[in-house]
This record gives sequence, structure tokens and C-alpha cells, in this order.
Amino acid sequence: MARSSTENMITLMSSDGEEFMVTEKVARECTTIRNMLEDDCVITNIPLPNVTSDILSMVIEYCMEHVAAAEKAAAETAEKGSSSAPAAAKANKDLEEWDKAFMNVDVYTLCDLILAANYLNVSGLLDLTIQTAANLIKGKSPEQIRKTFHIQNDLSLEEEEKIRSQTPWAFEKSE
Amino acid sequence: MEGGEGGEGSSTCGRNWADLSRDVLILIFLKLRMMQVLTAAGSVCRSWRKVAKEEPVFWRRINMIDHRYSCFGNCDGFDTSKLIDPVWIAIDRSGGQLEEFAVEDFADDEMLRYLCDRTSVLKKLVLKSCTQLSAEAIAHTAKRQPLLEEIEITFGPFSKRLTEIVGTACPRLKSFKFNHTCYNMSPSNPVNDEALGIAKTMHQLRHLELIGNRLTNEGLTAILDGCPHLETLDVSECFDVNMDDDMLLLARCRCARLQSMSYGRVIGDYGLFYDGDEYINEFDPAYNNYDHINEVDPDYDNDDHINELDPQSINQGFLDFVSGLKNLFIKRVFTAKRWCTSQESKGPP
Repeated sequence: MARSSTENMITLMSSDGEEFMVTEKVARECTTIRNMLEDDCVITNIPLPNVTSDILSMVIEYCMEHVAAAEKAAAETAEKGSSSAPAAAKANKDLEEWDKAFMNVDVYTLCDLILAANYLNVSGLLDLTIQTAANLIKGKSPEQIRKTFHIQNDLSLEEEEKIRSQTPWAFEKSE
Repeated sequence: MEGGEGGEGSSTCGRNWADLSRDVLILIFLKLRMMQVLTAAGSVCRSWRKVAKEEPVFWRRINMIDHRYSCFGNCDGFDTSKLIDPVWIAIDRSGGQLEEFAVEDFADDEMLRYLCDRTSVLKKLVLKSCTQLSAEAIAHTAKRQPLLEEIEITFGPFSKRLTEIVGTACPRLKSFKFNHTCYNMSPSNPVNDEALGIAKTMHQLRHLELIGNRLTNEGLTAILDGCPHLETLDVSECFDVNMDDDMLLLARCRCARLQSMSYGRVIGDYGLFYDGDEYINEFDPAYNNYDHINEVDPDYDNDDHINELDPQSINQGFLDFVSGLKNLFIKRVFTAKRWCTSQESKGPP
């Protein structure tokens, strides 16, 4: 069933001019592209001026993995009539592990992935990257956060003093 | 594409985290706890601070009770005054969108008045052990917050007419918890005013807790008549109520959707403070050092004074009736603390 649909190929073009051929199904994981395809069904070439080739290839990798996982689950359900709960749980866990490994990137790549996921509107990837960023913030002091994300402290002395006086314990080490 | 000040000197490949667009930062901050946004993320750089300061969405829910337990584990020795300033700042930043306000210990009349001047869309109000609070301030808050659906006041002020005022002012009230915790903290004689006020005004209630209240069967009957939609009812520690078969039958007949009813004695005060099991699960692992909390006094079961209902003692006819309806679920409150149970009728801790 999954295979029978005609495998339309779409070409995605990154900001640096590299072309990526993907199936329509994979491209549709990006809501932004899905909307374009629905507006104009003969479109086959989509320029993405906001996404570089290395980031785009990662986004495509993510979408392919998730499409494959969904197809596999659907095929199993069709085969056995009903999906077996332990198998589904294992598949979910595998995908989670895959996501976790996929998030093993430096903060710059993470930042680019967040922006790309936001721009292309890949909800699963956006949630994953946002959560990863939030986890990097949790339990850290402002200074530790700056260090983690390579952010320059551009607060004026007055501003910092104000923050310090309002929440003096904000600068105490938490946990 | 994302507006931002120059992020010069950052990475060669990636974009600068300080330049993240507002909507992306909002998504990230929404995954954090309010206090993390307030004290850490919001103090990192100008652009992050701007989002933390100007985006009311982070400040819709001020819940210092959850925060305190999740961040500091057990509360012994924790100076709650540290949480006062952040609460004022958070009320300020909520920009009229504050929907939930839950604090312990330090809320006073001035804070509630300030809150009411800043918002009028409050849906949930939780005030625990705020002993400085006056009944007038609570009444004033209820009048200014007509959308309130949930109110919980523990160790609050006692006032005969307060429940009626609150019920009249907040017609959407679905959950009302008005607990005195300790029987000895309540007025010295049985009083039904609070119960009658509830019965008269809070007809839409789904959940009611009146722990340690001095209502009698008269008050409870009025509540059962006045609040037909009740799903849970907790009148633990209300020793002026005689929960006999007739009373149970009445509860079942008046409130068809009643699923859980608690009465009799609660051992220790933890059941109340921590909302029982649910709350304990949220605790910091450090909390488990206090292992005495879950211990029940071994003598407890032999205690004659306990009037918690033992299903065996209910007469058979009634049991059949109950099992036939299958709906009345009698909850046993078992959370205990040894020092509290070792002696009957000890004074307040």
C-alpha cells in the first residue's frame, strides 16, 4: 500500500546551490513545502534560500528516518491486522534513540537546525531541537549559559546591577 | 531574516544564539520553568532579556509551590522569603494575563491587592499557609476575579461569610478547597456557616475539600443538596460530622456523580500539604531522606478513635446497595507521620 503511490521526486535547492532529490513523501514532512505543493501540484523544484546544504541534508536525513519509521509501522499493522504493542513500543524507542543520537551536534549546528526546522515547519524536528536547547539551559547560571551557547554578555553594568538587586539569588549556583 | 543586533565575532559557520528570533526564543523559554526564565535565561544577554521581560506568555502561571519543591526538595530550612521578589516581578510581567497564582507562606493582603490591579482573568488561586492574609483580602480578590474556577486556601483566615461571598463572586467555581488542616485550629464550637455558604452559592462545584471544618451533618446535608455535581468530596478531620449509613446513602442519592469521598481522620498533615500521592511523586529525590513520612504508626489500626470507615463494618444491605451502584469509592487517606500519630489529640505542630 505504502509503495503503490507514485513516488514523485522533488528537488530541493539549498542556499549554496546544492540540489537534493527527495521523494514527495519526505518533502511533505516539511509543512512549508507541503503547502507549496498543495498550492501548485506540478512544482518539482523548490529553492530554499534560508537553508545551507549541510543543514538541509540533515533535515532531509531526519525526515527520511521518520518517514521510514512510520512506513514500517504501517506495514507491520497491515501485515498482522493489528499492531503488536511491544513491537510498536520498541520501534518508538529505537526512533527516540535515533533522535537522541541525531542531536549529538555542536550548538552552532543546533542553532541552524532550529532555524531550518522553524522555517520549513518540521514540527517533530523543531520540538526535538527546541527541547535539546532547553535542556542545555536547565540548571545553569546566566554565565554558564553564555559559555554553553557562546553568547556575549552585552548587558550594561546598570542592567546587570538591576537584575542582581531584583533577584540576588539568581547568581547563586543552583543545584 | 531574523532581526537582531550585530553578532559580530561569533562563529564562522553557525548563526548567533543571541540573534535567535523572538518566536524561536519563546518556544525555548516555554520549555523552561518560570523561575529559570526569570533568573537565568532572562539574564543572559539583551535580546534574551527582552523576550523574557516583554512576553507575558511566560508569566501566565505563577506557581511557587511547585517550584519550591521541585527545585529545593524538602522545605526544611528553606527561606521562602527568597521567592517574594520574583513573585512581584512575575505579577508585573504578566501584563494582565495572569491565570494561575499559587504561593505558600508569604502572600499578604498587599500582594493580592496588587495582583487584582494587574489582572482580572485569574482562573486558579492557591494560597497555602498564608497566615497574614485577611478574609477581606480574599473576598476582595474573589470579587475582582470572576473567572476563578479553582480556589484552594489552606490555613487561611476563618470567616463565617467568606464562602458565601466567594461563591457569589465566582459563579464558575468548579473546585473549592478550604482547609483548616488541624481540627484544633478551627473555631471551638461546631459552625455550619461556611458549609451553608457553599451550599447556597457554589452550585457548579465538582470538587470540594473542607478538611478540618467544624460543620455538622446539617451543613453536610446542605452541601449535598446545594452541590449536585460533586465528583469528589473530602471532609476529613471534620469530627462533628457523623458519617453514618444514612449520610452515605444521602451522599449517593444527592450527588450521582460522586466518585470519591474522604472522611474520618487524616494521619499527619502531609496528606493535606502535598495533595497526597500525586505530589510526592514530583519531589526531588532528596525528599526521600525523610522516610518517616510514609510510615504509618503500627498502633494505628488498633486505635479506637479512628472513625475512618472500614468496609467490613458497613451493614450488608448497604454494601449490596453500594456494590450494585459500583460508584461510591471510599478513599483511605494513609499518608502518615509518626510523631503525629503516636499520641491522640496532640496539639498543632
